[in-house]
Formats: sequence, structure tokens, C-alpha cells
Amino acid sequence: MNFNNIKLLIRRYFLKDGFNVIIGMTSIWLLIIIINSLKDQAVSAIDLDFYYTAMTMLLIIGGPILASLMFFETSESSKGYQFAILPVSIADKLFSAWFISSILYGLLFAMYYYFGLIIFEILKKMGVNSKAISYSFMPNEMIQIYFLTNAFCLMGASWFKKNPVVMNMVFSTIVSILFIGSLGIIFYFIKPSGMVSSFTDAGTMLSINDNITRFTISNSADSMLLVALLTGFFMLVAFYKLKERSI
Amino acid sequence: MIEINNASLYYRKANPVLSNVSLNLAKGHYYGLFGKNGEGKTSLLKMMCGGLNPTGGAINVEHQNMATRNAETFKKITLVPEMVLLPNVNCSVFLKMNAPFYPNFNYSNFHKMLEQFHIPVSGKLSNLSQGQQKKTAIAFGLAAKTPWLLLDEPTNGLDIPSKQQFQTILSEFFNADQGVIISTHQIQDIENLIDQVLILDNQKIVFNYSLEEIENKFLFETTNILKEDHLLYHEKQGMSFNTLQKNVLKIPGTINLALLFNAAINPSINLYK
Repeated sequence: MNFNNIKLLIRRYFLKDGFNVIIGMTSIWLLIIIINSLKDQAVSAIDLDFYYTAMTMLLIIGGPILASLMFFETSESSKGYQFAILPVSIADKLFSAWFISSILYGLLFAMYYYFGLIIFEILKKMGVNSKAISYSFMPNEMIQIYFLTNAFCLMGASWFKKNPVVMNMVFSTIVSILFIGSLGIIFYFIKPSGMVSSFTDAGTMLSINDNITRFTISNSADSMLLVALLTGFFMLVAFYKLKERSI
Repeated sequence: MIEINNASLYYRKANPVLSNVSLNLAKGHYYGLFGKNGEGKTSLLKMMCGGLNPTGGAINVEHQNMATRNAETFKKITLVPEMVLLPNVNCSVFLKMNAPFYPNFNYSNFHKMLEQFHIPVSGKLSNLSQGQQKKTAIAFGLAAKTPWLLLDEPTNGLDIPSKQQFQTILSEFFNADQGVIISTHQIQDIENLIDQVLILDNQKIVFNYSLEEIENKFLFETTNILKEDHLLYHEKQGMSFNTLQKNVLKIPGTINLALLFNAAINPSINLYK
């Protein structure tokens, strides 16, 4: 990988699409703020639960959409030939795409997120009430899901030339069904009678306990390792798909 | 140097696009790559620039295998495709986006070429006509100063004055240490420009000669009476015949590329004999 090439690729992306992404994100953020301010006007209160939920959706959905579109330019050779034959390596292209869709988007999100909180703080000081928070914000889990889905969508972006967002949604649904189905089959066969199993917040926290097997994936080093391994796997597949991709 | 060693391309084995193409191309020449529609000219160019991996064989540009797709290999070659759709940015942003990747990019040449092509540099590039977008892409490809430039149907979509401008610009801004391959089925648009003729037919290169060799080996004549001696191929045109003969007496003459092309793709004629 070449640092200068990565820098140029990030700059290229910003010059081409950065403005649109920022405008889009600002519009959604403003919409969230406006809805939040108008929603409970009757009781004159800021609903932080709604803000957290909406912003979480913006992170978890927006990031993967951006990742899915990272190589969309090359879906047609008339539009994408320039990018496809730029004198940079596949690793440079992939890393810069990951950096933009995961790190820079995450930082932009954090900026908007905290800016929104500052606005609410100012409103509170102006006398607007704030509703009690019941939503439990779990940054560790959120960040893991965010990085994992982004890497998955980058893999999809390098795989699917046409409609990468839709194809990623379909593909991720199929993979999820297969994953949950396989787990169900595995546990059906290994579960002895009387076993206690509990699925809590599928996808992030899963614990199955019995007197024979103790298999726990929780928010700990184990899950971080699993996320890192899966992210690495998705990126590796993305690398080889990009290497084969034709214009 | 571009070395193509037994390069093949197929999406289904029964229906190959290119099969065992072998070629050696040297810099300092203008190659004209001719072929009927759908013969694989575009695929061959895409394979040469690393945009498409061959199914078999290898393509090396300046001793780098294009299938590796590393940064160094892409520095050797630029492609201008037949259809160009530029992004929704103005010219200076387009340059900032793409030019820094090419270490020898010549900004002043790029602007000179745009001026000669009468391309407005203010507005958005995506608002330009298809012909103007193509001319901008050609100017960019030439200004990038890569050792090799591949042009796919460069004169398609250009008006008549622009076709002339294209020839002038190409000869003015291309250096002897570079090589250019122009793929087209519009022979008359580039016949004054090229010095090497490549003809692709039936998934293979069936003809590969320089203009000098063609002049030495073949004689093109228009005659009213067909003489069988040394006659290789003929076409009736009105009351007369356009003929392609062996140039046994080494008489200098004018090359009729269209006639040569038709002879080369005629399966009953072997011009190499």
C-alpha cells in the first residue's frame, strides 16, 4: 500500500462525491433534530430516546449504504474506466474505500451526533424539558456491528456491479437466514433435553448454556476477535473480487 | 513494448471472444487495430490496459503483467473508451481528481488540447456533448504521458472538423517514446495517421504489417480488366475493379486500407503467402 495513493484516492472521492454525502447527511440530521423538536411539542420536551435511536439508524444504515456504493463508479465502463485504470494498487483502492466508509463516515457521524447533543443542552438551558432516557446506548456493540456490516457491504460492493445496495440487502438477508438456520440446526442436534438456552439480542449477544457445552459469544474480547476475523475475511474476499473485476 | 502471449478470452468456452492472440508491439508507432463489429477489439484493448483479465495467456506492458493490476503496471498505459461519460464536476476539479496519479501529467498540454478542440473549461463536464466529453478524455489521455495510449473508436461521435483536429492533435502531442493503438472500424478516419496495421478477425490477429511492408508486398490498382497474374483479391466498383496484387516489381503506390481489410478477413485469401 502506498500512503500517497491512499491520500489521493480519498481526496478524489471527496472532490467527486463528498459534497453530496455531506449534504445528504446534514439533511437527515436536521430532519432528526426538527422531528425531535416538534414531536413532543405538547409537553415541551426533548426526546433523547428518539434522537439516540434515529442517530443509531443513521450510523448503522448510512455507513453500509456508503460502503455499498464505494465502487459503483465502475459499474459502467464509460463512467468508471478512469477509476478502474488509475495507477494505484487494489489494496490502495480497498483501504481508501474502507477508510472513507468506516472511519471518515464514523467521524462525521460523531460530529453530527455530539453537535445535536450540544443543541439539546442549549435548549435545556433555555428551559425546554428533557424526557428521561430509557434507551441503553451500547457504543462497543454498535461500533462492532458498524465495522462488521461495513466490511460486509464493501465485499458486496466489489462483488455486485449493478444495484450494490439492493444486492447487499438481499445477500445479507440470505446470509443471516442461513446463519441463524445453521445455528438452529446445530443446537437442535447438540442440545440435550432440559437444556436452557437463551438468545438475547440476536446478532450481538448470544449465549447457550447447558451441562455439556458452554458456548458464549458476548461483548468481550471474544466477540471483538470474531468481528475482527470476519472483517478481515470480508476484506480479503473484496480484495480478490476487485482484482478480478472488469470494466 | 507490449507482449501478448497466447491471450484468450471467453465467457463460455464454446464461444470465445479471443483465442490465442500473440503480438509484440513496439513504442514509437501508431498502430491501427481494425476488425468487424464484435470481433473483440474493445476486449483486447481492455485486456491490454488491465481492465479485463485474460482467461488464458498473458499480457505484459513494459515487462509488467497487466493481470497483477499493481500501481506500476497502470502507470504504463491509459485507455480512452468508445463511450465516455465524465463526472458532474468542472474541468479543474476533474484534473485535481485524476491528474495527480500520473507523475508525468502535462497540464499545459491538456489546456492547449482543450483549446484546440474548442472545449469550454468553465461549466460541468457532464453537461458537455458526447463528442466534447470524448475529446476531453482524449486530451486527458494524451496529457497523462503514459508510455502507451489506447484509443477505442476515437472518432466515433466526433464531427468532421473534430476528426481532422484529432489527427493533428495526436501527431502534435504524441512523442516518439510513446506508442498508440487506435481501434476502429472507420479506416478512413485514421489512415493518414497510422504506420502499422493490425487486423483482428475470427478471434485472432490475421494481419500485422507496417505500412512500409504493405507498400513493398502489395500493389493496389483500379483497373477495367482483371489480370490474373499476381492478383490476390479484387472488388467490383461500378465498371472497374479495385485490385490487390503482389507487388513483384516493387512499384510504389497508394495503399487502399479498406480493400486490404476486406482481403485480410476473406477466409479464402492468405496474404502472408
